[in-house]
Amino acid sequence: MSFNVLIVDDSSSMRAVIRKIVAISGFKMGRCYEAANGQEALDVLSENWVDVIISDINMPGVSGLDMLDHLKADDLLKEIPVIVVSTEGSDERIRSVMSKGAKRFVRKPFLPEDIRKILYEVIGVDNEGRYCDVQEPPDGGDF
Amino acid sequence: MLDQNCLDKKIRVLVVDDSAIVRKIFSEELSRYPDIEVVGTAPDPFVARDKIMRLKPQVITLDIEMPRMDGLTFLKKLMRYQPLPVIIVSSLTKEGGKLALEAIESGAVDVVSKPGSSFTVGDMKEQLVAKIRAAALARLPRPETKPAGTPEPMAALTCTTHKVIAIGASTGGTEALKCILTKMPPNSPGTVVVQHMPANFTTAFANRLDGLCQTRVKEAADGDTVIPGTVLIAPGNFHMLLKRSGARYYVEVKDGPRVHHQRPAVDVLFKSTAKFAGANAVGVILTGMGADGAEGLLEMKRAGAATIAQDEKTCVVFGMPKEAIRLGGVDTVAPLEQISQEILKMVG
Repeated sequence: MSFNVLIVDDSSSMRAVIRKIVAISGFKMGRCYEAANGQEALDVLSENWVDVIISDINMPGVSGLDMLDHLKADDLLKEIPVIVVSTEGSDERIRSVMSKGAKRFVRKPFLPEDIRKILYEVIGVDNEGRYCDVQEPPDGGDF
Repeated sequence: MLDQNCLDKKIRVLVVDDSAIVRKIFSEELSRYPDIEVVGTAPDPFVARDKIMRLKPQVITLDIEMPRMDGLTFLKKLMRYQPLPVIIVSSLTKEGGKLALEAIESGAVDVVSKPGSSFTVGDMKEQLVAKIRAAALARLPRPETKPAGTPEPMAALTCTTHKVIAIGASTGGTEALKCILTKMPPNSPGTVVVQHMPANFTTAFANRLDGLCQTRVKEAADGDTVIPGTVLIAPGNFHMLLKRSGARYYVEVKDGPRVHHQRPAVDVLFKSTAKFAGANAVGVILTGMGADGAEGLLEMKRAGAATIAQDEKTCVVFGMPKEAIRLGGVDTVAPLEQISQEILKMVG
């Protein structure tokens, strides 16, 4: 099993860094999409099945916060967990981001093992990226 | 040597279920059919998505009531990004029926019940296989971007008579019926409907329609009177017949052998309608696999009823209407969105 990731940041070098960190973290990455701002992100999401979003906040055009609003308004997109990464991390900033529906706030820079743990956590799988320990009911089936 | 063409014709199925037992049983049972191949199974949505991309199944069976998996969200995503015919595997509970209905509205083509007390694995297998074959032929509507507003209901009829509307449908029928019945005015002629579906499902379906329609919609009970402004849906696992006592039409809901492997069967309803309502009836045959209803519709036409078949373009599976047309029992072939108008024209 693998997970599709969308990285949203207006700096292409920052996107490349994030992509690399996620890749070396051992996270089971399937497709990795990139977008330079909120609008590009929404365009990607209209065409592609994404499991988790890693997004910057300050971007020209549709910002990270605006994107969160758009996601919240869509029945399906609102289900996708968003991890916001930023260098500025005032408590107030974090509060406003979380109140818009982000699942986690992560300060840059971050370590591979940390981002892997957070990715799995927000997706809702265990530390190895498994969906769950398949537990059969004691009677041997759910028929 | 195996013929490559023969292999190519197999219907490729992916089984999505969190229960290892169910995955095993489905794989084993379905693989006994020469035209079906279970290309994979998946215990969760992420594995399912990977396998869909990799194995390119034609039909998916999906248990939407999995404790740790939001099957409905998975279905909605699938219908948006990778539309495929999905058959919902649902429990016999009330909650299961409601969920299954929501799944149909989200784009699943059909629903099959898990075996329960009176319903064996054998019964289920037969139904599942029939539904997989129908689903493999299904034409999927483009993923729906929520229609703006509700469909415009038609103006009230000036008079209602002793007319009866009889409608039969199978695969794709729940959405087709919704489209037709929501457009019918509050004093429409009494309407009787057979939709092939499992027992747990008809109650939820009738309740849902009741909330959407101007007419009253209820799951039929034995002896219910057919009156203007009311739609009776045959309960799953029972046949429904139209009967007449003096000027009063009523339905008989009863057990009996399956007809065309179906109970309720459209033919049972249509033949009884031909006999007891004659020229006072309008018969409508909608989307679905097989031939159920074709003979009955012909009998209705011979008894003087006006008859309508859904056209090929708007059918999810153009089977039953096609057979009805072939037998010569159809007056008018119409696209789904015009059927309610056609009905009203005929009873007007």
